[in-house]
Amino acid sequence: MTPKIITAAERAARRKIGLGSAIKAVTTAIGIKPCGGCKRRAVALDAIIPNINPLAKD
Amino acid sequence: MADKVITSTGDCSDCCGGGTACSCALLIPPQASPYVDYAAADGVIADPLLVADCLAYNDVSLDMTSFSAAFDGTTFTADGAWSSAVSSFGYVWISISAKSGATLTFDSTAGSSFDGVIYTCDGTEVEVIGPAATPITSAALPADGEYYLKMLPNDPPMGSGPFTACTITVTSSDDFWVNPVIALWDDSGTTRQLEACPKMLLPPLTEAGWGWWADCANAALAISGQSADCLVYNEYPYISMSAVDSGTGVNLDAVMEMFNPPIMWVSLNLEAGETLTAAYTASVGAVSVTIFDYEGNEVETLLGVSPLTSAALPYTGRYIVRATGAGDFPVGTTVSVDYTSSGAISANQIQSLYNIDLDCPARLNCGDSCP
Repeated sequence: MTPKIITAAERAARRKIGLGSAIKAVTTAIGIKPCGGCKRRAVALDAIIPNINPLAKD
Repeated sequence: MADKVITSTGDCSDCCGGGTACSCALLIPPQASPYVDYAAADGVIADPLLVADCLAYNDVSLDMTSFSAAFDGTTFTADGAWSSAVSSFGYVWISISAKSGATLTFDSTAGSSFDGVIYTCDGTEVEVIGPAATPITSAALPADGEYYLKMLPNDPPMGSGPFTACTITVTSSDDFWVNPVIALWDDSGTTRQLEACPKMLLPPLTEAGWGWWADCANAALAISGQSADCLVYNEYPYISMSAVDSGTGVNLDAVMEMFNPPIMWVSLNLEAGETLTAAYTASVGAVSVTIFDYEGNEVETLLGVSPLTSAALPYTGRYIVRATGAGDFPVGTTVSVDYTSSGAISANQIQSLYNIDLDCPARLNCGDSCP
């Protein structure tokens, strides 16, 4: 059995998702394709609320 | 944004999300210029009254008889003892990685007062602790990241009286980890690192950002399943493997499983100006040897008929060395590599780095169990 590695990018993804990216992930998951404006909104919201941890215990 | 810094203690390029690169190490001298040369750095690193157990630095050792430090995964402990009563410890420094919102609690067994400061890794003051009686709990930390803690138990006038022994403890309300000590020294304009406890870090080339094990169980699996004698790591399954540090050389032997090439990693302490020689035998194909520096950068690759000899090495300290079997391996390969040098040579013990969702890795030494 090979031990599993987690990369720096995976660590960052586990720990930090900005608000904009979080909305983008949800809307993409339900089939809404991100438009240019949506991407700009995601970046702007990430700047305002940069750190949502979806794995937080509480 | 500051340039990324990748150190021998792991890729912390995503450390300190605000853009400041941290080292995942207590860099000494803290918040000061590097030591003037290797000898100065080595003198501090090798002094057990100044650097304790790879984890803590104490800046005053007058009348001190012992200084030790430990971290069990939840509590950091530093113990000091003196030959005559003193009114304060030296400043004790540690580096921790901790979580946003966590509070730190400081305690000491002697001295009626405790002074401390929490800094970010770049030296920005986060909070002044005390002076007050212990235990003292900090405010919530402002962000995930690496923090330097400076601690001074002491006995002011009219206090409880001087002391000859003192224990400091630090705990956190959330996960935290204590990072190792690394001394910086000036090598004619180039800042070099001298690690208090050099290791063969896993995964191989984690220094260059090749990740950490996913958790402690995987870190332990890398040691138990792919390492031998706490000195050598093989990327592929083997039938048997061994490593011996004789004091004058380091010998690796492996018998590989069918179709698996030998890719064997060791970490060697070598000195500037030395040459490294690798004499090998292999039942199939040839062996190449690549030397990396403590940041995971390639120094030199040696190819050809055994023995292979490097150019003069650029610095004194830790190197990472990979021996790779080349050729087809339809049957199990038997390979032996003998490393010698034109000067001093020694091998470092394996330490497996793993993720606990902090900016810096947790560490499992070969022979230890997960906390």
